[in-house]
Amino acid sequence: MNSVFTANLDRADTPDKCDGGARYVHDLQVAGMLHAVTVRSSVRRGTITSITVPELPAGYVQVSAADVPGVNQISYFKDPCPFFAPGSVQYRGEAVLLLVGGDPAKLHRLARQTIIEYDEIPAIHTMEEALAGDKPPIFGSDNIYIEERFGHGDVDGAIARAAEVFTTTTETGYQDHLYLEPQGVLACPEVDRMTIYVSSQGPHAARKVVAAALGWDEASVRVIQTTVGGGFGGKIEPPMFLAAQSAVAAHHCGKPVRLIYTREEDLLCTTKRHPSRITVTSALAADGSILAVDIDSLFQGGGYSQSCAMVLDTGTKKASGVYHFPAIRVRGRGLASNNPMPGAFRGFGAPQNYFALETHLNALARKLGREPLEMKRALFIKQGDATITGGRYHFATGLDETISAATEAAGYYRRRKALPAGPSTRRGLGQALVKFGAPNSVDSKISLDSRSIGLRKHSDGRIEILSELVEMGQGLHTAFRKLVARHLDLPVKRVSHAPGDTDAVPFLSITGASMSVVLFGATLLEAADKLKARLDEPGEVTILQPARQPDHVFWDATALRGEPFHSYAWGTFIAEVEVDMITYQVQVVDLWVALDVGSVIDRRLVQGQIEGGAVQGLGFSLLECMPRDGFSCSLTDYLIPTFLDAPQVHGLIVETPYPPGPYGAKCVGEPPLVGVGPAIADAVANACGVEIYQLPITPEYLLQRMTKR
Amino acid sequence: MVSQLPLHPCTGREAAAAKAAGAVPYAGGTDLMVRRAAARRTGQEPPLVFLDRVATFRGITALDGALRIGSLTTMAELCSHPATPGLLGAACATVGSPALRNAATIGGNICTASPAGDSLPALYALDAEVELCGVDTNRRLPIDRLIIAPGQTALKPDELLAAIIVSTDTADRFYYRKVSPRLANALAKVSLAVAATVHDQVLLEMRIAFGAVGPTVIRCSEIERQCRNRSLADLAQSARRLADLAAETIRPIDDLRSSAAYRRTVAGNLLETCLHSLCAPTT
Repeated sequence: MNSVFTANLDRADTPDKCDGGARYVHDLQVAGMLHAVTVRSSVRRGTITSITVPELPAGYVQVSAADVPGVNQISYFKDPCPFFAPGSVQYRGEAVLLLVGGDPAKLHRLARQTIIEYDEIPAIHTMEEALAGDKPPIFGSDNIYIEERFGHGDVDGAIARAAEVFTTTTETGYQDHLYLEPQGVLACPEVDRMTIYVSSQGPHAARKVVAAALGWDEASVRVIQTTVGGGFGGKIEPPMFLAAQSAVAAHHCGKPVRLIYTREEDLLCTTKRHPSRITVTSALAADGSILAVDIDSLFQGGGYSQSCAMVLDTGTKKASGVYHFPAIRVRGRGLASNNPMPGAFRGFGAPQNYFALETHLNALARKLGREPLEMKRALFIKQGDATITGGRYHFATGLDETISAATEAAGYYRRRKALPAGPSTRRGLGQALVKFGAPNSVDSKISLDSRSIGLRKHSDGRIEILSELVEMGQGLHTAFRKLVARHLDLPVKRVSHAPGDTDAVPFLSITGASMSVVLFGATLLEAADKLKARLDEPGEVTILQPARQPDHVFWDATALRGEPFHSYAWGTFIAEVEVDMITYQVQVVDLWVALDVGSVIDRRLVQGQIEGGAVQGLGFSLLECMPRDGFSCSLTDYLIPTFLDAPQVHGLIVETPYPPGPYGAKCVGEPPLVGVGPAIADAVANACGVEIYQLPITPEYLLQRMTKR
Repeated sequence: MVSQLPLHPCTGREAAAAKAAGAVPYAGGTDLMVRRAAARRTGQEPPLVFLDRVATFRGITALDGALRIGSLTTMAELCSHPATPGLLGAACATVGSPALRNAATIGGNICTASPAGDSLPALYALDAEVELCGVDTNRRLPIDRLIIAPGQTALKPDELLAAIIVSTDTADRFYYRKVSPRLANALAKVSLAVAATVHDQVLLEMRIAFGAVGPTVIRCSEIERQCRNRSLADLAQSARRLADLAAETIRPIDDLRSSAAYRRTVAGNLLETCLHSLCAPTT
């Protein structure tokens, strides 16, 4: 309990969200507004040979790549990523054109009657096919969007002289964000300007994309953030597509155009978590101790790179877990395929890599007959150790404290070997350890001066936070208000934080990667320091504070050397499962999540993140499943946990302050999800006596594992 | 023309005439809502005939030794009605979620004719009959004659399901289990409904019906025959062998929701568990 924040604060956005007062994009109606319906590719891969649109009634138009005045390209990404198919398609569901008009039903009818013909090209369905090279490549000559290697020491030498080499391969599948609110944008043209209302995680990023699409300067585009009905990373890339498409359509028609996805469309073509296949090899000495670890991490990207490089990069940097191995090599590759396009998702490459590494170590401990936590403890990162990129762990780690908190609460050591089995059930306890780096460092050569956050004291004494960072249910605006109120020694009611509007607040960042509090919260306090001296000035006072990386961070993005992340949250996950031996179904009874999040700003919000993240992780681990080269477009088949499936989640908070963070705070958005999978898999392995190498752990998979034995 | 027919009829005859003219009948609408979403978006939905005012399709009525369940009876009503056979009540309680059970009707669950329909294995195991209402004639059919194939029934173009008739004085023990990927709002991968009559530690009769493991619900008449008139102790001894026989009787497939191998194994496991629980001494 280091924190100076003792009381929880009710979120300002809660009442509107509960009583229906919150206005989502779907609730916006403007005079003369037209609707847009997307016509999509029905094939995975091919060249478009003809497009036949039925004769359109007056007031109805089609808008496609040919109508884009600027670039038909999401300018946010360095590799090609068109928002209208540029004469060819790379995945089923790719947007080919929009039909725009007054009556949504008529548009849906016209869309159905639109015929697109293709010369099909053999599609790449799997990562094996992407690497095999016997089909025409989608990207470059080898289908590799990105490849990165990190590590230190002589891994090959250690493997050559090892007494034993132990290898595991794990696989994970698509996971959809399944935010409550499907994607939606409203684009309103004005004289020489375009205003975009969008449910997104980054208004300024959307502005950049729309401006490039229209061929305008950014100042001519205004983006207004609407209430976000859930994000989880899924409102980072897709809104850019919708915003660019609807802006082009609105510009073309000279009328407001609204584009809202149905749930089926949203499931079909928006981003998901990258499927993965990760092989971990460890070189063992004669006494079983680990000499070196080799990690080969493959992520399945889609038909365009989109954010694959960013997710792969962050995930690969996290792949060494909470350990300082004598020698390690991590190789990450993001591969092209003609499948739905994955992207950012809570955890950002970490859930796949932690499942791989923790599952490997847990299986090794079982094989050697060692207590896994004790085996792992010999390898823990300590303050001052080097990162796999040659940086340092500068600050105290709270890992041991999270282990103590979780093992004591779960009765782990006492109960682990003594769980009662029923007549047709078996029980197991499992654990997993994680660290979560946030934010990702940017190249130290790049100044962050163009990014800022601000405070405005109004003449009536109200304090307004000027930031584009998005409240999407995580409680960020509440945390920021508390920080500012505390720093200025004012009642929190005097501090407000409105949804972003690019005309009113400066460019800062997309809201994601668990970075907002730990990095920009500190910047906000620097602004508050400046404002504090001027609080008594009459009239309005505005402070804009540029962001900067803390002094301990140096990152060379060319050499990939230095501090990969600013700060680290540490966590211990313990799952208790009951496995039904009649149906092979796994029920998680209890889940203990102990996290070192630094100093807590609002205990209830932290608990909320832990519970929500843990249950989203449970869905990833047990239920949420799409064919890796296919599609689920219906909630009848894409199942997420309901309250009946949710275990008792015991959130245990450890506070090891991170000095550069605001009042010592670190992050909490993503960490609660990332360790759930390996902890559940370990518990199932302990209950059933078979190793688990796949998520989700479907009953079909468990049956197959138990029959093979 | 459909437009001249009442789309909110009060009698079975009117409703049947509207259906004959091309209208789609519905009551709870819970399945229709999902299956016709695309048609609704394009505004190309066929006319719907809403059955809720058809009085003869309503209510649960005691007949001599039987129960007449109106096709408009909701799953929630069946779950809470004291006269509902335990097996049927247990099956209906696994449909969807509370909100869905308040709207979904047993008539809809039957006429959808999905092999995974939750009430169907129970109705097969209860040897239920259905009462069909046409424009001019009414008739009765055993439930397994009504359902022909996935999504296909023996209803004539002018016929509607009016009621379900189940005998009230047959089985005294039952077993029901639905295996679905999550607890609420999920379709069955395998389900088993069993009704049995036991007297003096002897199994007199047993009816076994599996759901979601074939094109329609599958009754296991050979296993039923082998079980008849055997002592419970003897039956418990043979549970695994009978379960293996069940795995051979069903006709599961690989699909998006599960695998044939899983369905076969779990179907056998369910019957074995069922036999052990039926044979366990009751206190």
